[in-house]
Amino acid sequence: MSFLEHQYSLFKNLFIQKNSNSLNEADDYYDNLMNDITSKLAAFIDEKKYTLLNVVTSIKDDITSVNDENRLCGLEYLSIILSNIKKDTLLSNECNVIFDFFLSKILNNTIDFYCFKQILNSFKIILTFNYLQKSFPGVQHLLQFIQDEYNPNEYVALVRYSIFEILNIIRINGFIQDEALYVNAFLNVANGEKDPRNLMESFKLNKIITSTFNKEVIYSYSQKLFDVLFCYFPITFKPPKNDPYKITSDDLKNALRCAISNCDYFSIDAFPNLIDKLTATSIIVKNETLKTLKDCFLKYHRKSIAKYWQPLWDALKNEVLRGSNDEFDEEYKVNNYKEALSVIKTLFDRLSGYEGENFNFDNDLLKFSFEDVKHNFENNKNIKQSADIFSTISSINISINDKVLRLVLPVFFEPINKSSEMDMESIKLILMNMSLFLKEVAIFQTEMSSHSAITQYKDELLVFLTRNLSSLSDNEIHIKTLSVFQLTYLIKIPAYLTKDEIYMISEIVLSLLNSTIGVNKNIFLSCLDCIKSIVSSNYSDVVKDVILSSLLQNLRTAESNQIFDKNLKTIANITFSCSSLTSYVAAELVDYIQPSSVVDLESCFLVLSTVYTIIDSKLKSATQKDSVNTVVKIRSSVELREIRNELINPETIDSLYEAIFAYDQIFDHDGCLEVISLIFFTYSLVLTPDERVLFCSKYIKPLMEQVFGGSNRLSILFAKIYAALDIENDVLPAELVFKNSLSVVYKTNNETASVVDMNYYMMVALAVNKQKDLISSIENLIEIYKNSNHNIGLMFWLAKGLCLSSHKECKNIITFLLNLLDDNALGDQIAESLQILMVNIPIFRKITFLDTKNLNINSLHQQKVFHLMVPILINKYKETDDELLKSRYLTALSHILKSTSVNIKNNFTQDLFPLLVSALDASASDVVGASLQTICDTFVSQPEVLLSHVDTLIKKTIVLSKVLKNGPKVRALSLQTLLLFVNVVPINILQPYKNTIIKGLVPVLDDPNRSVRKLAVDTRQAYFDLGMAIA
Amino acid sequence: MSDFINENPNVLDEAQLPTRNQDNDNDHYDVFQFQQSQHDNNGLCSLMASKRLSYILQDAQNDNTSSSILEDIDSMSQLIHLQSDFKNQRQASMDLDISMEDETEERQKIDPQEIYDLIAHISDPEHPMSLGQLSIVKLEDIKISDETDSPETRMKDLVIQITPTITHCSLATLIGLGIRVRLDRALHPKYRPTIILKPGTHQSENQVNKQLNDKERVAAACENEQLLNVIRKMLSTCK
Repeated sequence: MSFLEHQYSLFKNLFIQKNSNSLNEADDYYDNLMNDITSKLAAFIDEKKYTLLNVVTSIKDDITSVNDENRLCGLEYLSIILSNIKKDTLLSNECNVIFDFFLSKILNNTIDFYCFKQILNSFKIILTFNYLQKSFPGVQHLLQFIQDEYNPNEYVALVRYSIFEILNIIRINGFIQDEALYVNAFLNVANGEKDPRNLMESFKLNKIITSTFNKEVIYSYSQKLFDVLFCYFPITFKPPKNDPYKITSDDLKNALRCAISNCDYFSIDAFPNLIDKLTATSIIVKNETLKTLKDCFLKYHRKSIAKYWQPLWDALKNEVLRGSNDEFDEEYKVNNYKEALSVIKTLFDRLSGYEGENFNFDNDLLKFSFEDVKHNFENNKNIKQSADIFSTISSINISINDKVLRLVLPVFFEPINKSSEMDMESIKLILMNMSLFLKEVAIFQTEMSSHSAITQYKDELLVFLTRNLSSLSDNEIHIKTLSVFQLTYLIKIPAYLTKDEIYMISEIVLSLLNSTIGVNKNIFLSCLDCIKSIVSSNYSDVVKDVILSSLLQNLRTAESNQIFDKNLKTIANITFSCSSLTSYVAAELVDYIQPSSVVDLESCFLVLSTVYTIIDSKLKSATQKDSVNTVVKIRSSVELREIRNELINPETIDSLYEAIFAYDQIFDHDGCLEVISLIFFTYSLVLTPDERVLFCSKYIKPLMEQVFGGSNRLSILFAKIYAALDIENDVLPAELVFKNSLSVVYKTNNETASVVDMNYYMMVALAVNKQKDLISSIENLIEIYKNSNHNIGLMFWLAKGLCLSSHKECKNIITFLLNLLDDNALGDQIAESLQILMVNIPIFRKITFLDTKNLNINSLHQQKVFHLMVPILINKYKETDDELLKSRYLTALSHILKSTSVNIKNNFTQDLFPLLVSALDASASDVVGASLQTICDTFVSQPEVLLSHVDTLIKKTIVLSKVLKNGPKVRALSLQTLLLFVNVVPINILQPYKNTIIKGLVPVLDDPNRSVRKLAVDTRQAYFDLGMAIA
Repeated sequence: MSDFINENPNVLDEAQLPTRNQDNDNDHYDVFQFQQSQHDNNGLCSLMASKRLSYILQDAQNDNTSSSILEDIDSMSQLIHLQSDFKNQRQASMDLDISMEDETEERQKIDPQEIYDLIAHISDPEHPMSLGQLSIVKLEDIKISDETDSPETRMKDLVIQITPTITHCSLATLIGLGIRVRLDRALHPKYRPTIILKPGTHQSENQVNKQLNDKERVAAACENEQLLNVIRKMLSTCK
């Protein structure tokens, strides 16, 4: 036995063993061994030690054997060797011979069914060999076979897939001699295919044929190629769960759509068929048809589309008119109404520039289609749909937009011009439809020529809209809102309205805002929007002249608080939406408090707060504010100056400063002074270092003597400005502030106002924060504590200053303060004061710019302090038996929790929870409120932690919801907790409590507070519905 | 824009239903703010001023205050409050605080608007719209007396007149039943709702009225699982 024969017999043994092992368990094992043999042989052939002929000879008995098994083994052996040898090993002659050998196995009506797979595999390999001649006739024979003798119905999907692969290889490697033969072969293969993977191949190949083959061939076969595609349309395939090829329904649909839309010759068949499919009732079929139509419009020649414009328009129009619901279908996730509109848009877009024999876009398509729906506008039928169609068309481009408006506007204005008295309903309809068109015009953001339809109708539009606003009754809120919307669209068209017209519109908007319906939310919002668009078209001076000046005047003359508030609200909201007006409005508002002949302090306070708010919101929008750590970063001084100029003018600051000293009432009003100080704070935050020096010498230095000379109200202002200064500023070194403030604090008696005291404490806190080495050890602090006559307030603020920068003494001072909790005299105070450490107030906000900063703030300080305090408190609580102390610790805890954000609290829920539950029995309503709030917050984020306490919680909250003495907040919170349970707690746990809760809440239905009653109603309703499916 | 589209002029838009803000000046500033109510007049501004401020600064576009000033003022006020407490305590070394205990809340009476809010959002069994939108219930057709409890006025009467959309509306009874179930669930048992059809709005007015206010019949109807399901569906849109 020769070497080759020996190898083959080894292989055959393995092959037989593998096949006899029916369980396929050891397939890999045999495959590996068999592969070893064949790859070794392939290497020999590559090295020319043996020729392929030698190998074939060694197995010639088997490959021609009549025994199926033997033949199968031989062919398998051969095909594996072929797949292992290099592509350039076999010479042309050898390729031909081996190819012919395999051909002989299938030609002449003697298909070797048993070994068909091996034969096809071998073809696949041989077709990739380098030296197989492109003109080799065997390939044509193979195609001939596929065309005539191959019957796809007789084979499984895997074999059919191989045929697709062979077709692809023939095409890719350039063996196609006769394209018609190839197409015929393909048609035979594609016919009746059902397997999704093969269909994907079929669609792809179809597309390739129609894009790369000779036009004439395609043309002559287009009908057949189309049929083999369209017979699948629309695909309603759902992939099986364990599909190994991961082919989705969308993949198939996309491939089919691509193939159908790929060939212009298909248009003759495609359009009639698609139009027919459009009448289908199935939402999904309709959607698929619409998408395919859109693709066809995009890819077919315009000439072919133009041939069918009329039936296409009819079908699509009917689709829109019939499908009245512009709704997203939840089940199938499609919106056919929108889809149909977009298809119409594509159709018009494609045909818009096309001029062909018998087709002219303007005269045929556009005019015809408009005449087609015109009667709808006239008879008030399907108006919304008709308007939708044409507004969609008008959004294609500016020239079509003009053409459409030229058709539409006369129709809209005909009834307006014809009858002087129109009923409200028709006005409303016209407005709603007009709005669709004007919106599209505004979107183009292009200047309109004087010949354009919209320019020609300008006067009519303005007259109609302004008449609606000025002469109709105030009850017509819809009409008025819509009219304002239309005007806004007109303003948005660049250079469309003249300045006079803008003036007129502003007047109208103003009178609308001042009228009784100005409070209506829709009217108010539409007016704001209108003002915003006036400002953004560079007419902000008109807004100032007409609207703002009048509103500001109203503030002065307001007869009641309500009118005052309404005007101020309007001013504030205008500024919120047009932030470029901020500094102007701020200046004007500050001006309000100047000539205060009648100083109404509350109004002053409101005005000042408004100024602060508009500045603050502007600053927030101008800088990337990190809401958690309240850190604002500004990079360059230019940017800084820009921001500041938009915020507030130096002159405004001047006037404010004067106002403080000119009016004693303002100076003495805590609220006003506080808010003015905050404005100063914000202003000095955005000063560059140089400007700051000037600022300080102008405003701060004159105050220093008064502030540090003894307790003085100016400390309120001083502290805020100091907070905004750099850490290392020369004007007010931290040490100076620290010493002076402390000496004032040491000297104070009990007569000074607490707000003044507190500002001195704050200054101390700011100073120790700015310069860390002011406090070097706990002894320093204890000394201050003694010198200040045991001033707890001061100590807490000091602690706050230190904690913010995570000072090394931070832990010591906190422990020191917490130990004071046990003190009988001070304990309650300490417990309450703990909130100072957690609370966020604006002056402790860090701004970093140009490498300087105003405060040392560790972004994790809150978390650190929390983690420092809470474990100590929990331990103290657990260790004591004294009820009084226990409740004091709980109070302390609740004050801490009150001002702590949820994400910090979360880690402690497990430990805290038992405490929280027992805190519900506390007598102080603050404690109860804080723990309920924490329970609610925790429930939302970590429901699993609390599930074991559901029983206790339900019982306690029902009781708490009825206790009046805790105030409405606690009652509302207990109801909210119960309401939350419905969404969070599994129904099987909650169901047993259902009736208890429904009954238990009956008394709450008679709660004195309306909001609590409402919550009780909602909660009960939620429990009534618990576990009931809504039919 | 589609918010304004309302094809049938007789149907009210959701936004057009009467609400509390429109008809009562005092409630103008009534924003669900518990914080301020706790310490009425101290620190930086009065309660009224802070309510006014929150109204003024309410950003119309997204319904919330766009600045932190209210919170800031509130926390500053609290801190000042705390500071004054220190002082008082140091002076008077622990007076027991008595302020919180005797504070009694004033009762916000149940008025027709409140009843209206309870029932106006019930859906019509036939249309996808609410009873308020279809004007089946109207604010002016609700009468309620909510006097302070005394032996004579312990039980309180509430009369609601409903207007069916058409005089032969076959579902008038069902609508009435829906309203009754809603009120039974949402009102304290001391209120006794009487639901009647507005005189002259229905062909078989007496019959329906009788049916709606007969306890036994209502109870029997509520035993019917299928009927209860329909009612549950109607009530599911309540706000």
